[in-house]
Amino acid sequence: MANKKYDVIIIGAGAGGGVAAALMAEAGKKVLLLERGKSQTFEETGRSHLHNQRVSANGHNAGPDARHPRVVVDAETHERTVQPWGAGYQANAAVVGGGTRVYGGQAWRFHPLDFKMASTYGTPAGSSLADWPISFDDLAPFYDKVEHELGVSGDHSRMAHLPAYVRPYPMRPLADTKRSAVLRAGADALGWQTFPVPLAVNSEPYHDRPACTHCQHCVGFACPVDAKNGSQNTFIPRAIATGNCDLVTEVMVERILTRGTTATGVSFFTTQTKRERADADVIIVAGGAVESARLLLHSGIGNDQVGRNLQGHVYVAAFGLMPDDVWDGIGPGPTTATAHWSHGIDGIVGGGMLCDDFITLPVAFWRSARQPGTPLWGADSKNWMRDRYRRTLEIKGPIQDTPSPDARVTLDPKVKDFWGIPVARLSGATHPESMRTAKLLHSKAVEWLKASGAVEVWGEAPSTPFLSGGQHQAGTCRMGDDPATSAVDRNCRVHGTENVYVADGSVHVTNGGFNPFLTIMANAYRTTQGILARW
Amino acid sequence: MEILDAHIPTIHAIANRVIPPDDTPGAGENESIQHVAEVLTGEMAARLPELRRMLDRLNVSAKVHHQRRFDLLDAALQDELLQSVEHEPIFRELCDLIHQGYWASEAGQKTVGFEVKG
Repeated sequence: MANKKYDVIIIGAGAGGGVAAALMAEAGKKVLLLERGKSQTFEETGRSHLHNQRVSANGHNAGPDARHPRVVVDAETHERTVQPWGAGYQANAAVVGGGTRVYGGQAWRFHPLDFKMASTYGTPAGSSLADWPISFDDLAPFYDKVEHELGVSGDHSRMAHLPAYVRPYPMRPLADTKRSAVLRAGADALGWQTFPVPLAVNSEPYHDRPACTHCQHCVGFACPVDAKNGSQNTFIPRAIATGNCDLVTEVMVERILTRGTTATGVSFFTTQTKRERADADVIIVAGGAVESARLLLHSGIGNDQVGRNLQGHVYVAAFGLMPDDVWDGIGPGPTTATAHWSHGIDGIVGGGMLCDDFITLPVAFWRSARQPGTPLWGADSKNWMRDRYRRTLEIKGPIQDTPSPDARVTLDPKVKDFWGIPVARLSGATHPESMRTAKLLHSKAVEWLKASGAVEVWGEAPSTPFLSGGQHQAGTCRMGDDPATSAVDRNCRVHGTENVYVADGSVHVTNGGFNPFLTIMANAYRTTQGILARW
Repeated sequence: MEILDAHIPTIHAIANRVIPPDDTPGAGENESIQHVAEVLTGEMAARLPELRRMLDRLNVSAKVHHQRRFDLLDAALQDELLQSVEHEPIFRELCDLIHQGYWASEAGQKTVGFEVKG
């Protein structure tokens, strides 16, 4: 590195880190952006159906690699060391762009009530359900900025569950598929309003990049024509173009260095044994909810709330067999959503959004869509796939998790990573209320499929609380005004520090009933502008 | 895949009964076997002894009852022997691996009509 003294060091080049880097660099600040993964091309990411971010039991296509194990403690307190592709790891991609390099790009604004969960529903015993210290209105201007600077396709006029937008999405919705009209008709019959799924995918040329070619490998993969918008092809190039941002990849940050309550810089490894140091006036942590908490804990920064409330989304999914073929291969896939069951359901905490899914790879269909009694071998087994793959509709959605303070990231006392740093130890589970919400949402997915003409419907709601996180991981550095119940303040500065901020999903108090990346980016935008305003 | 070499003909034969050839290839005829071998010698290495025992039993039964190795039996006889192990966890795990390798392969994609465009 040519310059080891920076104004800002940002740890993690994902959704939040990219936004922070762009705004800081464009404001004239000297930025060091550190990323443990590498900058990865489409060709390097590949299209293996067995190694991607959606089918990952055999390994990922965008990291993390085997140098980053974790320890998972299950409900019976058995603990096991897991590789990044193992069950319970809570993986998110580790490349430049983070999860946004290979995500599907569902670009949802949270619902206004998502910010007021405790005052709307109360706090279930044993849970840590709470209100955000900021409101939807505080975030709305930043949703708007991100939608336009990143590039989102959608129809603002049909988002009736949200306050009015100040301007349309910058691009029209992606094309309909064969499934769209079927699902719209089903929802109409039920009296549920639907709308196109907003996606960070170009429906037309935007910001000098082309429109989507509707391939069949969107979620879990990189885009072959760069029409999918993530940090790596929007905010990070903006940061670098200023000449003020050094992006350094394939480095592992060891700890944030402090003097009293002030951070002075970070130490990081460039090889297994070569440790370097860089100094800065401001440190922004954006490594995702597991790694950000781990880094703060290893640095001795923050209070007892750091690492608690790990959450992601409990997902529900139901499958419906249609009389005819509904597969047309037009990607990305999600076209039709409803927010009819996001809130206001008697006796249920929160709710969630439901929509059709991305094009499902055949191997993913085999793994996720089998029903009890599906033949495991023989001609009947082959014919089960042949008969159903193109005739099956899937409705799925993330439910609003009710968080638990015991769903937690701590440092493992024994297991260390490749660099000798204690690994994240993951324990606890989502609160049982999440299972009740999941059961209700699942029943609505089933209802929608039946109303759409499905001749057979299958799939079960999850019933046993488990630790959620994964690609939607959030909550471990929750935002709040009271340090007794939160890890960062409303400006996302870590309580008890002068200059350490968090700009990823960790700060989410609750994680909404929608995919969270747009909220991560919008809040990173708000956080970074706030830092600059107070500089 | 040296560790599995002696059993590869049996695994090939089982794969072709798990997903039989018809107007599209079966699982024994394409790259799905490579996936099976990779996982069995990697992530599932600890399960190899149990798998070998099951494969050995199939071959012993084939020789006792039909005087030939399992992979040399006709399909109906192979199916008859597989029915004797179909409830064993290791057989079910093997079936799942075969399926995953197959449905990820071009042959599997073609079988269900997954068409790559763009």
